[in-house]
Amino acid sequence: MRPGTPSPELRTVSPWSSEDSFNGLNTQSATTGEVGGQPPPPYRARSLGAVDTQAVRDRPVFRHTSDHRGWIQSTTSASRPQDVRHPRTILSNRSDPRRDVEGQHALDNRATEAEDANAEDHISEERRKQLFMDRSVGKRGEWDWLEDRRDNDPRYHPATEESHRDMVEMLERLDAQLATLLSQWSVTTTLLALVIVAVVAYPIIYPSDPDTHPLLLARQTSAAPIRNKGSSAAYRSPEVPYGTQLRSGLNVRDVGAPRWASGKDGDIRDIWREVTRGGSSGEDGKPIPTGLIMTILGRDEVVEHKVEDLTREILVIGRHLSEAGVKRVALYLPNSVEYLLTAFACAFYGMSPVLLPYNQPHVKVYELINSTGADALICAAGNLPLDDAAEACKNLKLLTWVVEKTSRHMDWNGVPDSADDHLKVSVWHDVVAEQKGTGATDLPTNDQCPPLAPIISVWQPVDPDIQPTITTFTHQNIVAATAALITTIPLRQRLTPADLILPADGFTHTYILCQTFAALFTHASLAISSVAGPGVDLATASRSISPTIIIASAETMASLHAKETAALTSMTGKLGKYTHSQAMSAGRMPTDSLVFRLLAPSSSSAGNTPGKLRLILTSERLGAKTPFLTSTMLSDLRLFTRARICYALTTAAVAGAVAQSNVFDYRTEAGDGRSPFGAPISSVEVTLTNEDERALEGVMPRGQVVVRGPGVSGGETRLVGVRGQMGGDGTLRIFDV
Amino acid sequence: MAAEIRVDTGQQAHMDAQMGGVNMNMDSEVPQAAEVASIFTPINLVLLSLFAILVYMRLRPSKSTAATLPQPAPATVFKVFTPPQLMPYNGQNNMPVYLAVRGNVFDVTSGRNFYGPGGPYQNFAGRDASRGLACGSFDEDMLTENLQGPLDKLEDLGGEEMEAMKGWEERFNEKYLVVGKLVPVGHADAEEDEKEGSA
Repeated sequence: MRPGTPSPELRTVSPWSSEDSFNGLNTQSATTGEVGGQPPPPYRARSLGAVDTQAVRDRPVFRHTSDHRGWIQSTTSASRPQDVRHPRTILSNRSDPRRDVEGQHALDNRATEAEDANAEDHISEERRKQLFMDRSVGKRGEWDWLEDRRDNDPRYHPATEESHRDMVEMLERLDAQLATLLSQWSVTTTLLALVIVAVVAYPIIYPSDPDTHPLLLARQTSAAPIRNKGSSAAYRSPEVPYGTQLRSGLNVRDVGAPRWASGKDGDIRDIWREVTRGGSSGEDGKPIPTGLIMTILGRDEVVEHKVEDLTREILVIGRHLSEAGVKRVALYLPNSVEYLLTAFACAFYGMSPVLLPYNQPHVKVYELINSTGADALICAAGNLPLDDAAEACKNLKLLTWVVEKTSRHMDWNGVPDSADDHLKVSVWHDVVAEQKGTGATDLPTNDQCPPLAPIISVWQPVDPDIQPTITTFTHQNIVAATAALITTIPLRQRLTPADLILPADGFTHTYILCQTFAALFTHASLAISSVAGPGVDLATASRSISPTIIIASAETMASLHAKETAALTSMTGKLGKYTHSQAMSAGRMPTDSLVFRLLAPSSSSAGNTPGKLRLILTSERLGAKTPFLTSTMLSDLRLFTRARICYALTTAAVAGAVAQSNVFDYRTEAGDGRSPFGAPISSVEVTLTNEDERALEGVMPRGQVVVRGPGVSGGETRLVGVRGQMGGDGTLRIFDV
Repeated sequence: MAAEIRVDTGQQAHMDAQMGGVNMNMDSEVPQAAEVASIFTPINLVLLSLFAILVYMRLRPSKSTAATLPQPAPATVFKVFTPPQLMPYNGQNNMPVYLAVRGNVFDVTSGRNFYGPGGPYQNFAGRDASRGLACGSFDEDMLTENLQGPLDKLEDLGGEEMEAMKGWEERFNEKYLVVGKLVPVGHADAEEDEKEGSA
């Protein structure tokens, strides 16, 4: 038979059979694989039901040949799939392990099989030998790539060799042991397994993200790209980066102005005007929320004041003061609504309020009144002896008593004879009652008001013998600080009309005063307590209300920390504190889950409803020798009070604060120094000066702190007695020199 | 070995109990012992230790991995330049590119394609570019030749050219950082030339 002529028994299905195409007898179709008129065997879909095993066995078997003919159908004894032999077994003399080989019969079989194979493959003996020699030398034939693929097919190589037997045995032993282990599965085991699954799955199902992105805490200030020799770059809040103006005011727009008009800075009068707008409808038709202003009297009584009444009082008192011809009004009052009303009255009538520190020895108070040049004094009734005051303060023209309700039956109008000619004594509630029906309740516009007069603040250290610092603040300083303190806190935690703010420190401190103005400006509710002062107990200050925000002094927080740490003795309490610290170091505020409420109830009674208190604003008074808070103390206080705490750096010459820590920054540092103060607020910028240039190179300069901006009295000031350093994360750190 | 025997008897007792109870009385102690001990079967111990490990991993103090951002480049120091001191800042030898407009020295390294070596305005780099920007020309004769002499006072330029220069100056102020002041040699503010290696 001529090679190339297809024999009748064989069906050549190789599409690569070139001789066929050359003959022209069979055309190729590469896409369909048809050869001539013989289509490939039909595809048989797998059936899900019973398989006709006989038909499976009877399906045609194709065998691959090593030469050009490719796949050919096998018609010999290798007609079942299992009978197809690997070509290597044909070419080598190795016995086929699937066959029983016994004695000479095996050899005969092998010989006849080899011959059969040769015969059906049409490979001559010489050709077979040649192929075998090539293979032993390593010469790769045309189709060896296909055989390599089949070599890796485990169906042709059942693992029943000696080396596999040990592994099989070991696996079986392991399997038996595992079966024994699992056969002891009981109810306890099921419970344990469920508990383990719960422990693993709980953080996946209820993941908790940190309160803020950690990278936002990694760089909290923006530094200027340029610096002068001898000083560092100017560090600012990210709200007002280099190239933009520092925040200088409240951005107050006139009532009729369009919404896109840029606002003016405004002053303290605009704060009260904003308060009076509460209740009316705003520009977009939505009603402006009204903030409540209430006073806590004694243990149970809470008195709410109406804004119209307060407005009337402001106008009446302002008129009363200006008619007496006074220029500087000294305030020696505890926290009370009269304090705020006097401040607003002075703003509307062009007078200077002098904010005197409360609870000082009388001699000190007279000294301060004289040195500030105050010619009016508004004092709580009975706090200062009238004769001595009249004697010591010859400049006083007007003295107004603020009498509490319980003492109003007494006559406070008496004037000592020696001072009869120049001193007038009046009583607040009498003045207000006299003009009750007459005064208008419309606030004068800015044109009708006399020019603004500055606010004088007295910064008194804790020790009364130390000389105080007397600072003069313009309205712009106060208003810039108020606006900056509003925007320093991110939007999620900012003062809202739903908040109740309790200032638990005296209004004398401009930080407290500016935060109170911020509360009024944002229409939040304000609770004024007369016991508020530095070092007050928080539980006492918040007796009959549940505030959401408390503004406290550092002394209060330090004593609270000492008390709570001493009270924490039980193991469950300590364990609770430990797990809560874990949550805080992961960046989350710990929640009071049911378990911990049962085991370790919070003994802190600040705020009557535990958990409602959400923010405590506390400040460090530089130069006042107050105890400062370390980072670990702040962290513990957050756990005790379950509230976020912001720690602000304040000084005499800066209205409001210099810097305030981030409300979401719960990181702790070891050490006994002051906790880092975070970024400067947006009304000031901070620079560090140093004679040594090397201390200023790099990203953590240290040196003396210089503060500039619209919030600083006189435009620029230097912090005395301390050195500052900018941390790697952009927080300001202060060290005593 | 002992454990295996106990387990086997436990299983044996189990099987006997299932079989019908003939052996139950005899082996009553063994099943009880097996039940008491059955809480601490190996599988329970394995699961208990796994639970203990998980609880420990949950409660152990986490290593505080404080996230840090790479530090920005430290701030440039504001310098007072004289024309010879400004010359080296033309982008060659890895120096930044500065140019001066009306006494203000701008850091135009970000516009290196224009002002650096090989750029169209490369003549301005390290020089006083005021006249060139005012007249809109990049020629060499727009630059002051004598670096030791006084600065170009731009007195002979007309209103239009001054307007053009003001426009350029505004653009520069918006785009680039002012890093210094240009004063003539011998001016009171001029700093001394830095010697090699000294601060």
